[in-house]
Amino acid sequence: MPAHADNTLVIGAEVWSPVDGAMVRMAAAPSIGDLQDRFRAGQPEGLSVLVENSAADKLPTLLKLDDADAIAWVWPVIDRDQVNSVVVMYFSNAGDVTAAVELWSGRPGRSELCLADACYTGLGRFAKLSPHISFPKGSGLPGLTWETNIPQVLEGLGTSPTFMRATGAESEGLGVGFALPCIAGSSLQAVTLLLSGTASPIARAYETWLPQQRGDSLRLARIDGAYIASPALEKASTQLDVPAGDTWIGRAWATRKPEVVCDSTGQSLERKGAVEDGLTSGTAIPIIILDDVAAVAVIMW
Amino acid sequence: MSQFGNSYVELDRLVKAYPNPRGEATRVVDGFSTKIAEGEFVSVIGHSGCGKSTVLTMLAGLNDVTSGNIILAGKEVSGAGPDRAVVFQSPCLLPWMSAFDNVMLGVKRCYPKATRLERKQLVEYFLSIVGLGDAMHKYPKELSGGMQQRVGIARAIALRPKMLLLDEPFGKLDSLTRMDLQETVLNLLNEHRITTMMITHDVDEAIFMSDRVVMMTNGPRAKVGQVLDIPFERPRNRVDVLGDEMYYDFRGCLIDFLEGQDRRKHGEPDASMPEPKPVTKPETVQDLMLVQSPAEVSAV
Repeated sequence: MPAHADNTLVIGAEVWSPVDGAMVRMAAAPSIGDLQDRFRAGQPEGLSVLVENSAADKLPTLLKLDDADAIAWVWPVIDRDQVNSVVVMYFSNAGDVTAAVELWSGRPGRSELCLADACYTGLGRFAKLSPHISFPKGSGLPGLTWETNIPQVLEGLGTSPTFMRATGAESEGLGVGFALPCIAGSSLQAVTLLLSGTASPIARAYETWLPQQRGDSLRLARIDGAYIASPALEKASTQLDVPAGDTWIGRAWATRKPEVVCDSTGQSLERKGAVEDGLTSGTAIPIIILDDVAAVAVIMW
Repeated sequence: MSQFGNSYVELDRLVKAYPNPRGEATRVVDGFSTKIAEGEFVSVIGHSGCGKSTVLTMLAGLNDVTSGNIILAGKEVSGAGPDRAVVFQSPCLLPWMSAFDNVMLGVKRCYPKATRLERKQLVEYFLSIVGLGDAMHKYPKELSGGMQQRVGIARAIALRPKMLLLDEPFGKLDSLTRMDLQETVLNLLNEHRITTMMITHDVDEAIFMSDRVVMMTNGPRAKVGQVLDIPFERPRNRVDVLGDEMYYDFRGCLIDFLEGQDRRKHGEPDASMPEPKPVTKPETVQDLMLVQSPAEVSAV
């Protein structure tokens, strides 16, 4: 069953930045007003505390907003040991959908990534087993992300040799995954996995962009991507690169801060095919290791 | 989910390479890493020939490490020593000695200052707790396979090792004897809390006995593929474990992993099965240190 914009699980994204010692909501997609209305019941005060804590601990966090049937995923962007921004993404947790948002991190006395927190929707055995499983460096999607230090896009979870929980993914209908490393300096803080079926995807497109030398200039190039029910976008995205500062993705690289874009037409995504496929919003998250932006993770819906 | 804290044993990026006929080094084990807490029971499972026993013999000091480190109780391990007692599939008893004398052999070495009476009491104690109180003066040829293995276990435990290494210790036994001996070992470990690593092919045995099961990928270049925590309370009772709602989920998880490895080993994936994800890593990016977050698991 093809996905459409209205069954995507992403509800919106925000960027918070430190201002005078406090975290302040700076940008959102859709608009800040819309998101605030949507999550007024979802304890915004609690959310701001969560953002503050995430920034202080330099650790990503999940919050289940029961009143709003939603999940908030809180993700600090750490640049030279300082949190320069916090991305908050809201995912719908309602209805007949199959999805997981997982946070994997280290644990004292262990050499693997263990499940630190997770929200599962429509999953049975997969959700029961995952807290008991851990992945060493290089193994499974979390371990691969740890080994490469860059966001990983993985399609066909049910048959992929890379996805160690493939049998569970296949039997429970998980099809596509996106993994992002949260890095502070040269330390891996955590890995987030966004997993969903293709009928009700968390987002419509996931991309990994890396800085690459092209002739005399360093450009940002799309090296991997998954597109769900977005054929025009997929076709237009196979070979793309942008200079630093160009488009919202290039800006995330140049400014080292996350970007969120949104408009009802999809024009602000600045990508051929996005309008045709009905995508309207996106977020670009820089992955900074020591002094360099090693990659930019892009999520569009 | 494990109740264990800091690591007591650390296997850090262990590599074992052997020269192949072309003179190149073939890495049988390539980067095996895990940490084991004091008193923890860890099983290692994987297909035949994947390198499980190679890891165990490196830890035992019976097989040189090509690269990597082994730390036991804060000290780097090099060579064999009585701080790591090994029980193999075959008990390897000295046939001209009684069960008592086979156990006494190690006790004499480990307790040089003990009196003769103290050593005798130690040997009798360990033989009796493995159920050989009435057969301790029998010779190996007079003992069944299971009884011989009990002597091997008593001999290992009597050394009071920091670590017990079990290399498919029940592999040659019939199923009833195997179950009986599994319970004997668990009872022993409940009493003596020895940190243990066991190599096994048997997923039920691994679940019943372990706090954690380390799943190894197929060799060559084998390493840890996935780890499964087994949270069942101790002391364990087989009926309770088998009746636990998670038992068959854990079993399915281990079998799924082994079947996945089997498909790759035999090249059987169907045509639609994608290749493993290639590792693309920016050249400028160094290896990241993993932050040891104290976060607890709380799936909601």
